[in-house]
Amino acid sequence: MKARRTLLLALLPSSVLAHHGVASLGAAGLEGPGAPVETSSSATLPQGKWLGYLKLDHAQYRTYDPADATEADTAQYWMLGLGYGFTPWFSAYLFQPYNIKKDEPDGFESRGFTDLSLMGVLGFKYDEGLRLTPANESLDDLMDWHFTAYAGLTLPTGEANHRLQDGSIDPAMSLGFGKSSFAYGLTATKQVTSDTTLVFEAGQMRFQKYTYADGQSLRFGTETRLNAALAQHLMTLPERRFRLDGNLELNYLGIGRDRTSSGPEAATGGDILYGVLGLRLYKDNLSLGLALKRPIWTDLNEEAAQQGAEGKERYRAILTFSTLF
Amino acid sequence: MYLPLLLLTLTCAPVLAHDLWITRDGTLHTLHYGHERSGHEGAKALEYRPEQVRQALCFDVAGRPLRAVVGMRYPVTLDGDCAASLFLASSGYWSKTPYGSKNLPKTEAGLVLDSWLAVESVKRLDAWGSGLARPLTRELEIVPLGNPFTLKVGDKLRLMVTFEGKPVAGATVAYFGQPRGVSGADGQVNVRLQRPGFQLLQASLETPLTDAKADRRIDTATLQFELPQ
Repeated sequence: MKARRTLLLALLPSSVLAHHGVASLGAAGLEGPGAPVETSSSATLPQGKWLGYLKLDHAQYRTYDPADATEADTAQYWMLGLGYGFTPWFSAYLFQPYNIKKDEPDGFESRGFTDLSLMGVLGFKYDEGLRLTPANESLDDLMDWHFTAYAGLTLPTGEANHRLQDGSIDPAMSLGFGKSSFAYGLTATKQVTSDTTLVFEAGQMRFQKYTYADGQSLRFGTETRLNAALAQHLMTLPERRFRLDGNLELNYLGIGRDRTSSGPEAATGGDILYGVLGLRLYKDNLSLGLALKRPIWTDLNEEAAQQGAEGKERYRAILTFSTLF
Repeated sequence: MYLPLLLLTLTCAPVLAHDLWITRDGTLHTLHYGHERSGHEGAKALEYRPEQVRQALCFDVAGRPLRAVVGMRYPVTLDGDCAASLFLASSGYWSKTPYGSKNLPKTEAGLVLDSWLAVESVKRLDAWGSGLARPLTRELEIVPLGNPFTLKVGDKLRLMVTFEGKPVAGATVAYFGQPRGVSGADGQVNVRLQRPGFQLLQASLETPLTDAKADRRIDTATLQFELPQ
């Protein structure tokens, strides 16, 4: 069980708190900067506009021992989101995740709604000095450096003490953290040509110690993310209000060791570099993102014992859908 | 904020299919009208009816009107030492019918699919003063907020679009025919200069009409100036 603790830790928060793809508010723009699928770009919601968001992150894990039914097989992280632009430079989001985690056949399975999360995004830009994102920008203004600072937290609305079929509690299969977790980060976006956009993101997530109903205490290790992405405009059909972009991303994830009441936990944490190849389609006020994500370099703390942890995926398939209204 | 850009790409091109521009020889300003000036420097000029030109105005750097001699034969001219010269024209009412567009109000054009009143203006800047950072007329007008002659290629030109002497929202602004932005509530929009020498910016604004002769009014304003070498 220990080997899988990062499963919950590393995957759930990344889906819940990072406003992945939400920033693809380019759903409304046939021109202007592109937005990656995983890396958050630096767009804010237009004032008074709502954003509806759906994401599926399907992870398929490498398995090593056919006789061990407790090896993690797949995980599906669904997320529904709603965003609102309070001002041109401040947007707020509410996310409700739903997770399905399956071990290999004859193993365990958990599914259910997990912790609700809230996030605030402050947008600013550099245009002869730093300034808050204005209400109205031309295509040339959109080519300036844009930034966002975001911060959010999860609320312990999920069942942290979710019991598996044998009555046990495995934090990796839980449906919540028990206590709030916190995320914060910065993004930077630069549309370097009319067709090419670069996006950078740095963020961190921190967790609190929680004592489960069975007496075990755990504090998940801090996650650090450094992302870089290139969005390339491939095609536009103005008369059909259609745009297609290609995306190439590098996502670094550093995971700290979990800590129990007896100290640092073995078989947790490490460093992973993911490569992401994706497409983003825009049609009217809709945006669809598709991506394939694979670990291309890993340095896990106890690599051989971390089946089911991040860095041990065969692949991750990501689908996002967003609409502005 | 990407929202306005969707509309921007879809609404602007037809309005800006023709250009007005002014050439200057000494103190003589000549008004030209033609196709594809935006895409091709010096492209072919079209003859226009001089009576379509309603006003020809000359201003000093303080924005004060100067006396100048107007020649109302084709091509219309304005003779004066102007820091800013401005021509206002209107080709009148237009009606789109199943048989093509007619230069008539919809009350006289038979079966009408669409109708509009076309009002156009062009302003040429040859010198700068703070008086030119405010509107010179009550027509649709592009007003630079700072001295454009200090800019170079790659710099942003900060503009305000005005109508009836006040900032107006919703005007599409193009650079050499390519839409770049829509004016906000403060009338402002920024355009990055991409070419050396001659500069051509256009703004268009549609407003509903209630005079029964057309459904809407389309105002088009042009701003031209030359970057120093």
